[in-house]
Amino acid sequence: MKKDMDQVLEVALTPMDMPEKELNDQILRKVKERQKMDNKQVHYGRRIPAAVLVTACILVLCSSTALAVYKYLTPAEVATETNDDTLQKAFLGEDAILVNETQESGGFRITLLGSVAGKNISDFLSTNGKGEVEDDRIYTVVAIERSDGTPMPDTSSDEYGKEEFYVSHYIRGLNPRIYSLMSMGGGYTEFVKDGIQYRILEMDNIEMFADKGIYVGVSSGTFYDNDAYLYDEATGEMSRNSSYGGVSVLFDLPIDKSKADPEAAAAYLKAFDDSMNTPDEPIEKDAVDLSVDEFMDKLTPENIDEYAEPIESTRQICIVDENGYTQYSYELENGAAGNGVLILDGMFPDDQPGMSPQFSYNYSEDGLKDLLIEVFILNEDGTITFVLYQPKL
Amino acid sequence: MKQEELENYIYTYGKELYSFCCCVTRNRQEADDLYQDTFLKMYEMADQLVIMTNPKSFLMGVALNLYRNYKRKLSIRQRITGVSISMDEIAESIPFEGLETEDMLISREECQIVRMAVAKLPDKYRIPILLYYMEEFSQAEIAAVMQISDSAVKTRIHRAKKILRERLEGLL
Repeated sequence: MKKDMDQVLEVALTPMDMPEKELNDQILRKVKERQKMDNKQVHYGRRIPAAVLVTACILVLCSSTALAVYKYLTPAEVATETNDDTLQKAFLGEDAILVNETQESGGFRITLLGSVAGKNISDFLSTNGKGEVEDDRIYTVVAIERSDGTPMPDTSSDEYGKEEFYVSHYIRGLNPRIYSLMSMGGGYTEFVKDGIQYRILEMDNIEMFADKGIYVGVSSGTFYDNDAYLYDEATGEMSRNSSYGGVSVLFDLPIDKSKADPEAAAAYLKAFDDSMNTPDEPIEKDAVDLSVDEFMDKLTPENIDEYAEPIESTRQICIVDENGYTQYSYELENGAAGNGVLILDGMFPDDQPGMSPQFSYNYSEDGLKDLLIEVFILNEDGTITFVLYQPKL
Repeated sequence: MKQEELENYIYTYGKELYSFCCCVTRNRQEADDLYQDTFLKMYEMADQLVIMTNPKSFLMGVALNLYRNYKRKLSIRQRITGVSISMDEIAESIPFEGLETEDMLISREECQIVRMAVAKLPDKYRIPILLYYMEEFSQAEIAAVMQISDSAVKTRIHRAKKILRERLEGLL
């Protein structure tokens, strides 16, 4: 029987190849990994004393308005974007607070989308400096966009991060310079979608202070900026500094006052004060560290050849750029490699040619055996010679 | 694109895309890579697309572009080693039970012979044949995916069938 060509091809070429389940699972795993990479996660693990906070002062007028908006992702959707299913469910729960209030300042439109607090409400619980899991947290979502409609740069863009924002909860009656994200076990996760930067900030659960009142503030910079807000010690009231030049917005978080727990709040504050007043334990140096310190302390440009020898394969002449920076890199026979940027400022006394008295170095637990000393020599023509030295053993 | 959407696309089009990848690459390992990269590319590009009106066509287009890129990279190696077509792999992919329901128009062995004959066609004929018979694309859809004219698609399918008819003389 003569067979029809079209029918034969249709039958023979019917899709019959099934991908292995593992192959499909692998695709989904890779997608999850990519999502995680897109969502830059930053966690401040240590409580940082407020004394180190940086301040800046630029005087420009800013405006502030409040209005309802509906174009953003919901807090639950924001959590979904970060692959945090548990947090997503928390934002859909009864305890979640949905706000949708927008304020404009310093060329940005900031919207407080919502907040939720509780124990174990995230898939990504972090640990504190003592290795304890921080499971009782408050999570708040804000959307940040440019007032002129220009999209915020994607996290993969070089422009991302050039506009820095410090987003934190604050507690009425507690000095924001001391009590904020950085000092209260805070961190954040953020991503950019459709030109809008979404940030989930998280920190110790402060619902216990609900009777005092909780703020959410967004200001320019990486740290709390004293000039962005005004704090009245007498009343405990915090407000925006209208003459501040950067971003400064402040929302009242409509938290359920019945969640206040004065006893727990007092205990929290005591633990907070104790941690602030406990000095960091000095890093204990072991014998290896001490032997390297001793070796390096005696090294000078004049005697270096007596105690150490150059690794000639790493010797290179580096050009100094207009900012006074010079770059170097090296690769050793054992595969070890390194690179760096040298800032010339102060490296060479009186800018005279010769070897710098400042040596940088690195080593492992083997101490002197694998100690590498980076040596910089200023040449007559203004170039820098870089070469690694190792101890003569 | 949300992960659930991607899962849905994998569930809906996975078999068709994977079959296409197997027949295009003629190699299981390369098919796996092509299949995986196609979905990952779709995931990457989805947010840039306003409306994905024809996901299947989009997927095949992505797969085809990726395949062309693979070929460029592999061309030197293939010039040295030659393209090998694994008879076993093609046979493996044809479940006997699946064919029994097709009124036994052709046997499993005959099916294998047809697939081999298609596999030996040059890309310019093999791809339109696969898109037409395996993926049931219209000639216009094939033209769009391959970025050639409708008439070129018609001509290539016609010539491909002519070659196949000659090679499968005893079967047809």
